[in-house]
Amino acid sequence: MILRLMPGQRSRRTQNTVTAAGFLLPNLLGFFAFTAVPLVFSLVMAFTNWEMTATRAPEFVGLANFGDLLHDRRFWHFFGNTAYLMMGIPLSIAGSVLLAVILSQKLRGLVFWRTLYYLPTITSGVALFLLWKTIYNPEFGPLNSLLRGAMASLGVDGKPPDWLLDVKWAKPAIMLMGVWTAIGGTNMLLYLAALSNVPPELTEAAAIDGAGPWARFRHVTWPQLAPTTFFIVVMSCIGGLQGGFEQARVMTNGGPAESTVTLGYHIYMKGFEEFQLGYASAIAWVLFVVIFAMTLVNWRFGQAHTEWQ
Amino acid sequence: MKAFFAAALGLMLCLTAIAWAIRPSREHGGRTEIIWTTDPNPARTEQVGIFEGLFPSLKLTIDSNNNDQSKVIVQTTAGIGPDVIDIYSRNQLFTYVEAGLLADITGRCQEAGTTPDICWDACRDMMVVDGRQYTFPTNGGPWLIFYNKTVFDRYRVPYPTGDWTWDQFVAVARRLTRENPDGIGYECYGCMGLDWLECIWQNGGDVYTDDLTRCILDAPEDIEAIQWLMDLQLKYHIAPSPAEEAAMATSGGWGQGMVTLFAAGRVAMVRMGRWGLVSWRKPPAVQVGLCAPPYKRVKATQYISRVSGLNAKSPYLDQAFDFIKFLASEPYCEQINRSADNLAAVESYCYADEFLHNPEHPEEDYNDVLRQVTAYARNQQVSPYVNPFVAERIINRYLDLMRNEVVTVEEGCRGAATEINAAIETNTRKYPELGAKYEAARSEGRAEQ
Repeated sequence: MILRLMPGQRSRRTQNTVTAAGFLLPNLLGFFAFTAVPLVFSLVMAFTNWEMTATRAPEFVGLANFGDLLHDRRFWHFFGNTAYLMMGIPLSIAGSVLLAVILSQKLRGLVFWRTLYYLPTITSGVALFLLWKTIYNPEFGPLNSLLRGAMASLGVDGKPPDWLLDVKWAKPAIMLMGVWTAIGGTNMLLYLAALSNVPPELTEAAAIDGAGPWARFRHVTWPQLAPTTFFIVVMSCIGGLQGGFEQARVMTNGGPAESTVTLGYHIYMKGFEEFQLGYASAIAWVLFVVIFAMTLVNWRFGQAHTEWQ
Repeated sequence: MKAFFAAALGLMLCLTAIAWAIRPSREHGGRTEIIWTTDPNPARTEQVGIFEGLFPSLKLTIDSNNNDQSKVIVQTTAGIGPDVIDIYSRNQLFTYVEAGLLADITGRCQEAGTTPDICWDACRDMMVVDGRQYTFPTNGGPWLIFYNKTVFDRYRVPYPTGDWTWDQFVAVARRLTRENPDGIGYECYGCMGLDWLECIWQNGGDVYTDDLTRCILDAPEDIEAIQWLMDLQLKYHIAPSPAEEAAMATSGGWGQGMVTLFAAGRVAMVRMGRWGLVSWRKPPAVQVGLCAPPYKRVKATQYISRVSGLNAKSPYLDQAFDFIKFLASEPYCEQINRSADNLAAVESYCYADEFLHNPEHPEEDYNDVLRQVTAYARNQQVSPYVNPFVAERIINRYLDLMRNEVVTVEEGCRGAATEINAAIETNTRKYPELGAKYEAARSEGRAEQ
């Protein structure tokens, strides 16, 4: 059966559509101007040799930028740096769970402790990075002062690492700082929320059956946190692949010897220091594909191990 | 709800209309505003006053928030850039010229008499590209060795006279380097801030061949020069290591930290330009002496200059050219010389008696040295066959690896030369026009040999 609209109904429907479109228009204009068009433009640029500083007109070069990327040793080096820094993700997640479990207990001054641990998240990133830069100062930084004291009391010869100035130590130093920042951050809040949703009767039943604290956490609480963990892993992987720019820019300027340059930083360098916008766009799209693929893998793997409620 | 959304939309449209209507005008009571992107040096206030005194129909506004190179390029390409653009290196100059950002002011300068002929010889490379003039210097001068007389007196070391070799320099610096009494760290370092490029020149080397077609950082004289520079830190321990530099640079960036450390007597000699005096003149004034940098085979130092160019797309190009005339004017050049913001670029103003004997600073009896060193100071090479920022990044990466002793100096120099030459090869293959220019330069070079 075909329903036909009466003339009055049709004009009312048209009027509603026009009204809705009018209301959506300011947002849509912004979306097109600042998101959709630049996105499509960057995709087109990825297939050109556009260099902002060159007087020659950009030319279509097909897949040449992507081909060059595959043979670009620096790209793979920076990909390696990014992957290295992402190794801190499991550590920070484990730390967040532990902290959330502690802060979900009935402690004295609970609000104070929760606020204290969340402070790094609401503090300016640059201020944090400068603080850590001072902590890592090889001569008068508190970390090395501590290490020197410890080494002297243990009778160990040698000197502590130069941290951000040492090619071998700069990456671990930045990773360590990232773990510290992430442990008390949004992940901890998500776990706190998830812990409050774990039905107490489950843990009580387990306790009555003789399960100890570790067994209760391992077999009751942890499975209940799986959806939250899944979400955090997905978001952390996306953030990890995109991140690293601010830290490296403020703390090391990408050095020493480009050992702290991540893919995000590489896009900036290619685009706004070397002005090779075509090539920089190609890197950005490759990064998008990598993130998309990793999210798919996470999704498939995570779905199989997560019970949604 | 419909009425609310309609009102919100109407309000947004009204705000847009108001913003459009009240957008800043470049006309101020009959005066045209000229925008100059430069650094926020306090001396700019006095310079703006001088400019507006000389050109009362113009209002000069400083925009130090958009002085960053990427902002200048993006804004100027988009047609909303400043009228006057400051440029700090030859890499930057070539990049701006290649991007077509700078107006060719050759004809105007010939008419106004603001050509390179009135400036120090070393300025020419920062003003002219392919025979056309694009800029005029705001100031300029050589890098020199400044020494702290109080430190020299404390350790009873005679002041250097300037005509000295690397070996003599090391010997002096060793006498001035003192460890802390507890054996941890140093009370005073002999020297700080020496530059790899100048060391290469002082040893008779260079970064590229004369025709700029090939990087020669792997040449024996280049390797020897960089080895000497590394030895200052790693072998002789007369200069702070990178870690110590970071520890000592307590405020305001590396250069600023070095200025402070020198003033505090923790470094006896530093490589610095004349602008160091801006800080050291302030009470308690530092007892400063200066001399030419040391050398092994060739007397050499780098000429450091800041130049101003005009935005080719500026709607006020005629008015902006008055700024170029201002830079060549006597009041401006005298202000530069008097305030020690490096040296005036117009050579004749540095030969006035006020420059040699500044009545406000009679202790500065070394200004003649500045003139002597400026006479042989030179600029860095820029090869048109490789993006200068790519080349710079490659060199810096290898220098880091050498400082970290991950590679030897020889391996580092060879690695840098190989990578830069590979980049040149890629570019000349990729861009046929550049390739043709490259081949022409190569065959010309071969013919000359």
